Amino acid sequence: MDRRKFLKASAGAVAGAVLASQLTSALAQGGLEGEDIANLEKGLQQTLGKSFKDLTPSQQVKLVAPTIAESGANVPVEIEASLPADQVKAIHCFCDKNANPLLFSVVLNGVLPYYATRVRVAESAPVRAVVETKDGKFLLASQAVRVTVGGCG
Amino acid sequence: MVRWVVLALTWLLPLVKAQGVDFDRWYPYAQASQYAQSHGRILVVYFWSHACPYCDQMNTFVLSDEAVSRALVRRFVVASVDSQSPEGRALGAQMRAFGTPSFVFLVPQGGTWKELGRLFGSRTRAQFLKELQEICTKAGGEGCG
Repeated sequence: MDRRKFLKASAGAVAGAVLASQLTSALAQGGLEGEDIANLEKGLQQTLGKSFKDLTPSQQVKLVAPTIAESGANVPVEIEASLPADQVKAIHCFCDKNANPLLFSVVLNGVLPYYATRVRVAESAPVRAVVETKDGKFLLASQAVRVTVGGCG
Repeated sequence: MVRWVVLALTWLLPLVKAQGVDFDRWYPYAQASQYAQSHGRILVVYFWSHACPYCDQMNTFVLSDEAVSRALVRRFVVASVDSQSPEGRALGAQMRAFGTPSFVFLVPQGGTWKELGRLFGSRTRAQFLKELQEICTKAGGEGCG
C-alpha cells in the first residue's frame, strides 16, 4: 500500500471509530422509543435534585425489563450494580411517561446492590435505573418497554 | 307573582337535583341508568374484571387521570359493572360485551336506549380522551370540549 492510500484508509478508520463512539453514546443517552425527557426531568429534580445530563450511562448498571410488557400494570424489573456493596448508596428507578416518573427508591446500607420488583408503566416508554454511589455519582441504565394494549376475553 | 315563582321553581329544581348527583363517582348500573335518563347524560357501562390486568391498566393510568375525569363529569355518567358478578354476566350478554375492559355508550331515546358506540380493550389516555370526545360529539349538544 502506498503512503497516500494508507493515509486515506487510516483517516476513514479513525472517522468511523469516532462516529461509532458518538453513536453509542447518543444511543445510551436517548433515542429510545417513547422517551419523554421533559417529564423525566421533573422526577429527577424532585428525587435527586439532578438533571438527566448529570446521569452517566454505565455498563456497571444492569437493568433487566421486558421489551414488550403484556400490561403496564405489572412490569417486572431487576436492577443490579457491579460495584462493591459499600460503594452504592441507593438504587432509583424512573419511567419517562408516568405522571409521577419515580417508580421507587431503595436506600442500601452495605447490602448487595441488587433489587427486583414489579412496577407500573403508563404507556410505552423507557424505564431508567439510576444507581447512586457514595462518592456522589449517578450511573444510568435504560431500557425501552413497549406496553401492549389489549383486553381479556 | 305566583306564576313567576312556579316558573322559577320549574327551572331551578332540575338544577338543584343535578347538583345532588356527583358525576365524578361511578354508580351501579340501575342507579347510573336512572341518572342518565333524568339528567340527559350519556351512560357509560364499564365492564371490568378483577383478574384482567388491562382493566387495572385502564383504572390506574387512564380512568384516574384528571383530564379523563373532567371529560366524563361534563357529559357522562359511569355504570361500573363487575363482569364476573351475576348482574354483570346478564348485562354482558344483553349488551354483547364479552370481554374486559369494555365500554358501552348509551343515550336514552324514546323510553329505550340507543347505542352510540363501544370500546373494547385498554388504550392510552390520549386515545381514550379522543374517543370520549367523538362519542360526546355524536350525542350532540355542548360541553364535549
